[in-house]
Amino acid sequence: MRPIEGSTHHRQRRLTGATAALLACGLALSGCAGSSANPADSSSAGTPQTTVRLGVLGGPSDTLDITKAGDYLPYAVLLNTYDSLVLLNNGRYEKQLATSITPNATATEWTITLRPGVTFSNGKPLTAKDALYSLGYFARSKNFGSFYSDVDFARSTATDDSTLVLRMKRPRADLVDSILAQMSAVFPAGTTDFTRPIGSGPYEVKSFSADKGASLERNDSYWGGRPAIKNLQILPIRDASARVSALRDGQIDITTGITATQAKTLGSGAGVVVDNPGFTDSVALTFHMNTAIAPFNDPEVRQAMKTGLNRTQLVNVVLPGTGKVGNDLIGEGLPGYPKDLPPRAYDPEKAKAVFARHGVKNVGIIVSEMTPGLTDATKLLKQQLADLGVTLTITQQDPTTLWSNLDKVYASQMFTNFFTNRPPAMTLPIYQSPDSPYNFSQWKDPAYAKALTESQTLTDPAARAQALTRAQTLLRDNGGDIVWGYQPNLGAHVNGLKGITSTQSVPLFAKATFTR
Amino acid sequence: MSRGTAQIQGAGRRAARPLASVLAWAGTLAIVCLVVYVLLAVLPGDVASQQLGAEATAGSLARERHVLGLDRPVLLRFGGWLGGVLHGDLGTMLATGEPVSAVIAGPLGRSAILLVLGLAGILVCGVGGGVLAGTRAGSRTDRALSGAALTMICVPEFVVGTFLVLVLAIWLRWLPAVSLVPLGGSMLSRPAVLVLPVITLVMVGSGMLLRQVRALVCQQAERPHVEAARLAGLPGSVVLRSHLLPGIAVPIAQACSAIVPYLVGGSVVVERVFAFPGLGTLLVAAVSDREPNLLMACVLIIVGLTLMAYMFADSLRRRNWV
Repeated sequence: MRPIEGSTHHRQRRLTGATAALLACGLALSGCAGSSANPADSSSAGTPQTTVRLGVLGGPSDTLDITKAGDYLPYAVLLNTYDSLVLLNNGRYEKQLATSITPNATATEWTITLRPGVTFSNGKPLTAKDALYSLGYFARSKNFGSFYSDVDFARSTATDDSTLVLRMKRPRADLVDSILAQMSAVFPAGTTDFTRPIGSGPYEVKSFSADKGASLERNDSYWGGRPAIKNLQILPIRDASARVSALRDGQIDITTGITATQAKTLGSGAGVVVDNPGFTDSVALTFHMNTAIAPFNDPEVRQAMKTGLNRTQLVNVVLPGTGKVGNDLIGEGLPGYPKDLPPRAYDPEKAKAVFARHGVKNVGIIVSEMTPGLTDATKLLKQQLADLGVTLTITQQDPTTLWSNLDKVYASQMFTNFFTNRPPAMTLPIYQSPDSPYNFSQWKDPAYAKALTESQTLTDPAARAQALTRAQTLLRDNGGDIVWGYQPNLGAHVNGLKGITSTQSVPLFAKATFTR
Repeated sequence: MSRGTAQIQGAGRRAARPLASVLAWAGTLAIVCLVVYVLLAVLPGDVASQQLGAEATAGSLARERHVLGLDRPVLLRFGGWLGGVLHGDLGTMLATGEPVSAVIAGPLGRSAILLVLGLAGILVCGVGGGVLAGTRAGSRTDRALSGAALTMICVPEFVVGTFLVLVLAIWLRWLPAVSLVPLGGSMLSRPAVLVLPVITLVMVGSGMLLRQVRALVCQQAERPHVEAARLAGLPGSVVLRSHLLPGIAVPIAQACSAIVPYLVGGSVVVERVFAFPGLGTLLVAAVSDREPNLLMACVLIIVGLTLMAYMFADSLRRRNWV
């Protein structure tokens, strides 16, 4: 839910609370997944380059304490410097420092075994104590605290150098997917000063300032293999169009968080490859119907709205070229998303009849241009609803203050919004649990709540997956959320740069190569 | 009144004048700062609400505001800030606790480079062009220069900047379109990134100066002593140097110092166009991040400089009358 910046919107906001979590690493950034698949890349063969310059969103308030990071700059620096227990890499869960993560029969106690022989950049060995300290640090932070709220740190221990036992306050069978994959970077126990962060990752921070950016050098003895690229420069560029210009100028080699229009212009130039990560790194665009008040407290009216929307038109107009039609659930293309979901039928005549029968004539909606396109989508919705005999009244809200005054949103019949696309195991508990502040549809179905709890607590993975699918099916059929489209987070890089992966929209360079 | 007393009184007035100027400058600056401080405070949202976001409750917001000192009355906070400034302390960033002086140092230095180069260019082109056009009033050169200057005055900086980017950076690919600071270096170690911002400033700024200088030169050229020098058969350069320019040196200096306020304001816009990481860019960031101390430091410098330039121009005018 982090407002992102784009060509028309230069504001960036700090992440907060659980938002940080899912959005933490963000929206505006686009990763580079799949870049190596681009045919334009395969032609390049030349001299290996030692330095890669990455341009990302950054600002004067950036620090290298990851729990205070608001912009992409610190994340880009730290996720290339730290290893994590588990990382969502290119849309898949990857164990980095953990070799095994196993629950007891009730999912109230988890045993995590660490990779042996890993050392920090200061030469000290990385132990379970460090991991426990790091997770505890996240638990105490504003940004990640809510993720770790079910972990009982007073009773959790490092039993030996390579074994960590986490005890839960309530069963959490989804520890890996919903908690550790969110943020489980490890730094030395006792760290409180993050001005020169120490990690065990592929790169080491040599210098950092919020003003100029960061200079990173590869960790020659990295356990995952010495990175091919020696120096990594991560430069703050606040404005998306400036990032594109810098790439075109040759002042940077790779950038993230660019708009579809910018990608289109760049795509026509020589020497630059546009990264379209597809669903795995995208933004889900939504309309929320308030199920607590009329007319959307009636399931039939909600259903009519879902089938009456012309999603193809919305995508073609608002997300031209790169967007995809949504199916009323977040998490498409990621682990845990229901398989073989039929596309939503489009039946305007039926919707019109339902609206007429229920006397739905006027509906209000709140929109805030937190990311480019939300206002356009809402205006188009207004046109579409006019054809269905409904007048939509649009109220614009300032994106800077929207999140500190949600009462207006809770009182509105509809709300235009967007979410970072993450696996449902991560998003459902945060955004769509009945009591979440982000549950804008205010749908509080007991059967859904039960399925959601089971998806977190059942220890049998198959049963847990079934519960997750059940929750999603209920949400899609009866809930008040319309996920009408997906917009991939686009980025671009120069020819010859390959092998970059991405975690939560942050490019990772451990396996990258660069020749030109 | 004896002549002696009058002289003493005159000297006293002259001595009091700079002091009064400084006081007026400080007073105006303090008022502008107060207005900006209050404006930022009444803008919706603050650092506390940005940090807590949707999870904020009345209690957590109040706690966070208390920790950050944002719960004190705005005038009291302003007083605290002003007191700090008088002791040379610009305060800290609310979000990170970093001293503002450290945050501002880099951008300030880069803006200073932009301003100095811009000012030099404007003085050369504006004064040079103005003298050239004025001494050849009505000629083709004059018409071309005056026309170009008028065009430049009428077109906003961002249009000039965007046009230059389009032609010189995107089509011809001669110069970079954005001004990034090379890591581990300064702007001066990659001078190419300075060219477009400086040219933009110079084009717009020198247009204004050129027309003022041209008018002064034209006026002065008709004065009897200049006319007489010319009729006496002195070479044009001597007439210009010894008879024409000395008479208008002060008004020209005045016009030049009046360019500084434009330059300071214009550079904020120009920085935006070229993503130039200077004071203007920092100012915009400070507003959107709701960082009062950072914003005030930017305002203090930008407004302080502007006022100073105006007062300097003013003092020249007074001297001209004496």
